Amino acid sequence: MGASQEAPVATLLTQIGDGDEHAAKTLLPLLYDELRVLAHGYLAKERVGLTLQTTALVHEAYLRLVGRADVSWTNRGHFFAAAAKAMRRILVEQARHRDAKKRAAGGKRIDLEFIPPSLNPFADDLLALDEALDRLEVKDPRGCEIMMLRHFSGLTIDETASALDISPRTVTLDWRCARAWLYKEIRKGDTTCLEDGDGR
Amino acid sequence: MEGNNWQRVKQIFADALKRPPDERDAFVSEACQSDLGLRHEVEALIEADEQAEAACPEPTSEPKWVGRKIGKYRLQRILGEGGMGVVYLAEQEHPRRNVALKLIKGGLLSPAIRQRFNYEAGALGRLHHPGIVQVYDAGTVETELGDQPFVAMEFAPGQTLTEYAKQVSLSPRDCMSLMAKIADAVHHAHQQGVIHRDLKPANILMDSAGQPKILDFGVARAIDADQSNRPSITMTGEMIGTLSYMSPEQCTGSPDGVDVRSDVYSLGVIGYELLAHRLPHKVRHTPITEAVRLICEKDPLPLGKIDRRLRGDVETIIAKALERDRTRRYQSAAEFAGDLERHLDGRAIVARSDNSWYILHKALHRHRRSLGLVSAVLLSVLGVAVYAWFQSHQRTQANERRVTALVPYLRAQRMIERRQGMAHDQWKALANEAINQLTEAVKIDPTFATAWYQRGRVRLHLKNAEQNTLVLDRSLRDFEMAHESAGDAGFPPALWAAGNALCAHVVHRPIRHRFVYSPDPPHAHEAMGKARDYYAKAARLDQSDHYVKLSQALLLLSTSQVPEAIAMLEQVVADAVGQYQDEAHFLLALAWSNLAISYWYGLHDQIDTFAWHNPRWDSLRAQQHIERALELDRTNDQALWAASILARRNMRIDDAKRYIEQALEIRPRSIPYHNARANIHAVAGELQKAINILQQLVVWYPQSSYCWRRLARAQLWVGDYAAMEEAAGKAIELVPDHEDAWSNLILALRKQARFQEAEAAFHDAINRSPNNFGAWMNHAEALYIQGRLDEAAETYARIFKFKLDDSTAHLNFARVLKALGRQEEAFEQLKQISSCPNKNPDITAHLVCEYLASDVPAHRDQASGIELAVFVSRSPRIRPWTRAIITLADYRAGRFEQALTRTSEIDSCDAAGCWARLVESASHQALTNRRQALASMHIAEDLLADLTIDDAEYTNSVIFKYLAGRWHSHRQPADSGLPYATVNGPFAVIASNHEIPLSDHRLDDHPIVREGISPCGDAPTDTIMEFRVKNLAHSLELTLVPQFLKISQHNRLVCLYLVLHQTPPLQAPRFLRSLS
Repeated sequence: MGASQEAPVATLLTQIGDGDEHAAKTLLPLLYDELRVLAHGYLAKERVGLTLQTTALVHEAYLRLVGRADVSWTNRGHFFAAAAKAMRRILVEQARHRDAKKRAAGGKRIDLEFIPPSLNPFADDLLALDEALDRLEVKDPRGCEIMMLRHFSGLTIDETASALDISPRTVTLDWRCARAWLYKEIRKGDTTCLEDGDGR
Repeated sequence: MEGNNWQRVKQIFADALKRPPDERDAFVSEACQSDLGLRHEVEALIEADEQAEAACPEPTSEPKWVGRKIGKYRLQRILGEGGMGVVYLAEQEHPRRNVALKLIKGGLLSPAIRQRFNYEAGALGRLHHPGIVQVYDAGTVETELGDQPFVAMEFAPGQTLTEYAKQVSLSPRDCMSLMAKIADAVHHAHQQGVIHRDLKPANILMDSAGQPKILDFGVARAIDADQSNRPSITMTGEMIGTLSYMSPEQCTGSPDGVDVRSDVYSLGVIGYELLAHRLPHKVRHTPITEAVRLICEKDPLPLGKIDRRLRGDVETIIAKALERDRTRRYQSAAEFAGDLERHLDGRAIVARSDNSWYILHKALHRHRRSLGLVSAVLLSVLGVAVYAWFQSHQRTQANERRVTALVPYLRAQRMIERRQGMAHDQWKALANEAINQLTEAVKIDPTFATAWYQRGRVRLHLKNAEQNTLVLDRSLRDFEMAHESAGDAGFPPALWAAGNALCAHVVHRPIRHRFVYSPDPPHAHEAMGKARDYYAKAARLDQSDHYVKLSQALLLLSTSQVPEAIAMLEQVVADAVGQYQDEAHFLLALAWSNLAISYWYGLHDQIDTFAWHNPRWDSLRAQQHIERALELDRTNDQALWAASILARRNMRIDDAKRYIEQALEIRPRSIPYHNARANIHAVAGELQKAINILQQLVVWYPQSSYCWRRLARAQLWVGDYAAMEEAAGKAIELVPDHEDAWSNLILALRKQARFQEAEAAFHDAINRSPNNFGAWMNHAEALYIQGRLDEAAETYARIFKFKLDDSTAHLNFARVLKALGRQEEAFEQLKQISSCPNKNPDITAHLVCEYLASDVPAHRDQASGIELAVFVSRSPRIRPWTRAIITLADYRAGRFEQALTRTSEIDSCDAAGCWARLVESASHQALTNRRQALASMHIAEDLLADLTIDDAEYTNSVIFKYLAGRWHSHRQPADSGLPYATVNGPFAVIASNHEIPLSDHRLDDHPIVREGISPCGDAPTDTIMEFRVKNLAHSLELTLVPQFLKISQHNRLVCLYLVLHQTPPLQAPRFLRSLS
């Protein structure tokens, strides 16, 4: 909880709120590092399981980086949006890494340790989810954003609504629609994957 | 187009979801009409949504489980639901009984967590207390959904505390006694090593008899594999309810984790809520981050402001449980319960024990009848100390004599109390009078231990003020008398004081335990041994006396058993927390500051034993400890002193000065503080100021050998060797056995080139103590300087007979061996440095240098050099020259940019600066910044020309050899005794290694340079030759190139290539001619 870190991030958030694109670019790598360090800390100490959730990580990162600074909800939304991006990158990297390890271990199954329960439906193929999210972003940017906030930053419906300044109802419907679409997409991907076999 | 379509799909999907599932199909087909593609897509989405929903169920209770059998339990009905799971009333078969069965939510558990869960569950079964709901069984059972964790526990019908408090109107007194019961139960669990971590009224059941029973002990931990207990933010709904009772350290996920004091905090919240009918913080309907902020930053409204009846003890007790800083809370649930009970009994509560008036008030209140008026007056005059005595007095039914003796004792006591702020002479007269009174007291009653003890202390105080060593023995006798006269129980404080007196005597420090940091003269070992015995005896008699243990630890520290001392200090502090309510702040402050210094000490001298892993961490910890100590007590001069030392070590000079001046305000004539101040000035480069301070000290304390020794050391800094000789002489006069004083004297004489006298002094010194390491070292150095190399080598060999692992000795010996031409042995000595326990980074740098830039190619070991450089660079404070060496490691490791960054930080005009410019030049060259490379080189050349040869700091360094080579070519240095034999031509090697152009024409014809070239030339590696030639070509020193070519013909082609590419056209033909 370095005091030195608190202020800059809070300031960054305000700057992003004021439309400063440079600030947004600065925030992402910062968050990425912080979250990765936190996640590794968990994994290294075998603290796996229930609490090893993106939500907890992101909130912890929030406490560490922004702490008790006075930040408006909209600007907090910027934080969680960036955190979701960072988290997604970390999860995807981890999945790639695991894939590589799996191949190295002769196809032996390795336990998924780092999947937030809310992503259970996608747990089997995070990489496919990542690709599908890219497609969703083109198709339905807001749906994609809601999906990211909900699942990678772990915001509740209400929190997502405040962050995006839309009604919780809209969030619920958009989110379910996006989730269903993704689920469908990935299932479709499953069959192609089967044909490709393991040597992808 | 697709976007439009998607919007429609979304709309229909959303509308469909609003309808009951069985109407959706019809709705979709109607909404899509004839657009089959659209309909197909929406239907697929709805199907996917159902599947996704099923794969990720929202947490809900599962009534379908009722009636089923889970393991040996048949579920009857749902009793309740919480964040962690659903509780069922269940029937167990064997033994047949009703149990409350909690099925933990969260489904699948990894094997690791399951194991932990089972382990924790075992611990829960061990809790047996009427105030704790008994856990019968816990574990996991297999179900079709996977392993389901469960906890089976005593079924205790009743209501929760929340409901109970609503129905029953509780008086403050009822609340307090209820809280005491709950705290008692919590303490029982703590003793079994189980922390609740989620105490709240909803977790406390009240049975019909009004007995509280705590639920869910340790469950939070058992299912939470993460021991650091971050707030489970995922349990959003439940979270807020829980957050209200969470301590700040739980809310913020404190890195130190959660301990029993976190439960104490939760108890405080429960108590507050019971008494005030509201929570200390309004966290409901508040965003989590905001709630956390409230809990971490705001003190709750004092209870007395809510309800006047709660003023005083009640308010204080709850506030102490709710301290945000857990070190200020009750340190255990038992303490909390204790104060509640004390309050209920009308006794003084511990939470206010720092207020002596309060204690007196309570005592007088309780003993109104038994105390006469006189006693009451006495008590009010003399305060707590006498009160304590008075109690024992009552208990033992002291005889007439004691009462009579009390009169002079109290008189003396009052005199002692007047000491504050008194001039020395006045105090001396008063102290002598106090001693007379105390003498009177012990004459009347020889069993009056406290009087003996006081007399010893006053005497000791006089001794310290005057440095009168004769008084010490009398003080020690007084302390022993105090101990003996106290009967079987003994008098541990007196023993402790005796130990302190001895320690203080040895190192010339004020009484009371202090951090002792100077090595001691031989006779001190005896004193220290005696002190150790006193302490051990005191510790045996009173095992809970942490002061004694503290002193024992400090004694360990003073004999350089640093890791042991630190382990002990940590233990003392850990134990003391919670045991010394009355003096906790004082003790803690003391312990923290001492601990902090010990970290600093470790950092300084034992760098590789325990500060190795991360020196910055220790420094940080020390900082935290000191800050804590200062927070507790701003006027703690020791903490200020420690803060000052730490600040100095971190080069925060201004802070260091400020702290030490504050400490000096409290103890204006303290030797260690003035000494610390002198050190700060020395570090800041204000050497004369440092010396002034130390000179003042010897004026004040002319009898202190220690002060003279410090002064001698300081004179060394400024090179006033005559003054150094004088100070060392004085120190010896006062304490003839002190080894340091002798080695200072020899050093002073040696520096003045009075070698014969130095030798005589050396013989005197080792006659007194044969293994005076400093004396031996200085003697060896003197021999070396005189060129008596064989004798010097013998001397070092002799030194290694009694001191094996001193890095300086190895380094100096290596230098002598080198001068003797015994290169391999020298290298062996240098290599020893890396295994010396006290290796300091600056000395290690020489080995780094040897690995990276040795004259002997076989010694070069790039990898080892770079690795050691990492160790050296970890140290926060190293000399500039050492820092310069590290830049070479960067350069060698190919980290040119980093080398440049580091060299840019070294801008001094000394040898280090010169070295840095050389590396800088080479790095620029590597990065093909030729212009900058040449610029740096020229600066280096200029610096070289300005350096003086008696730059004593660097006599061993390669740079010096380089300099020596240069200077030797011009003139004989003043001190011709210097062994220039060591300069066997490293210059050319360095020049090639560092790509120094051989542009100094004055060296061209110098034999040393030629020699330097030839030995390496015997077996030149291509790389070295290439460097050389490249350099020569770069700097157009064409005349020298043929020399190389003569030595090694096979570089001809390389050379040719370089010359053709890099020399200006006009010169190339001439050079080519010389080649042919």
